[in-house]
Amino acid sequence: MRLFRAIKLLLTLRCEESTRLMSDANHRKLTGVERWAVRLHKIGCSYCRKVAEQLRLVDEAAQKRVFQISAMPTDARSRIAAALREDAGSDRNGGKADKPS
Amino acid sequence: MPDETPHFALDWLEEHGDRLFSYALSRVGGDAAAAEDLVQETLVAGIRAWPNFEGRSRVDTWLIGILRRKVIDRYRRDKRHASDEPAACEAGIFNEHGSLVDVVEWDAAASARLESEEFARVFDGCLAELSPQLAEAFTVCVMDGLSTDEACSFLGITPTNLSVRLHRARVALRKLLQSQWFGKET
Repeated sequence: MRLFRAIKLLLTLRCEESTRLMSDANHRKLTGVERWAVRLHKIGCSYCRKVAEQLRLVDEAAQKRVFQISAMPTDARSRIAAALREDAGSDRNGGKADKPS
Repeated sequence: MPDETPHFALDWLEEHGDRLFSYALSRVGGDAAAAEDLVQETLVAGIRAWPNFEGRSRVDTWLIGILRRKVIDRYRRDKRHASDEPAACEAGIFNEHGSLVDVVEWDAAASARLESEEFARVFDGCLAELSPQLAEAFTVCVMDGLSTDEACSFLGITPTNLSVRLHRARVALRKLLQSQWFGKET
């Protein structure tokens, strides 16, 4: 039964499953059968060959986005500071004076 | 006590404000007002939670953890999307046989400009088009780098569900970025 499932995966993988496995490969080690199924599928599918690289770029782009730091606008900063002062005034316990190191 | 200022929260704002703001901005489609609200809520929650801070992480990492929860709460309150309905950007990726459609060669020059301010805006816009379920899975795993176990317990979903969401998020983002950045003629 397992062998049958493995053969079926190898022979009938569609782009939808192939891209799902490409996505999974970022988070877990694929099984040998899964890796071969994607390889075989890519031999016959020029779209999946392109998309494998494009999906890699999507993750890379997202990770680069994380390092784009934008300065908080001055007026936003002042509004938040005012709200924090107000919060301390309205809440007895809010003004714990110890500053973290 | 008119002047019992939470000095340390003002210091957080001073030292980590830009980082918190940028984090929030990248999760709310570049909406500066929403990002400001999230940063404020985070600092107020930080003041309340400070007695429980155990010093096992840096303060900025700890604050980002609070902000991450605030962002997820915001996604889950988002009334623009019905709970399980796929977003428009998820349509037309595969045909009825499960084969990919609309795949084109990407512009290599566009891949070299991923660190630009312009790309950050485009990326934020694309992320905002995903349904909240996909956005939360993608941001937490790919952008925050949480492990599968951490992400599943944080989001309260199973590993299979996470895998499905990450796949849908990635193929939808691929399509959106193709039309808005990588595929465009220069």
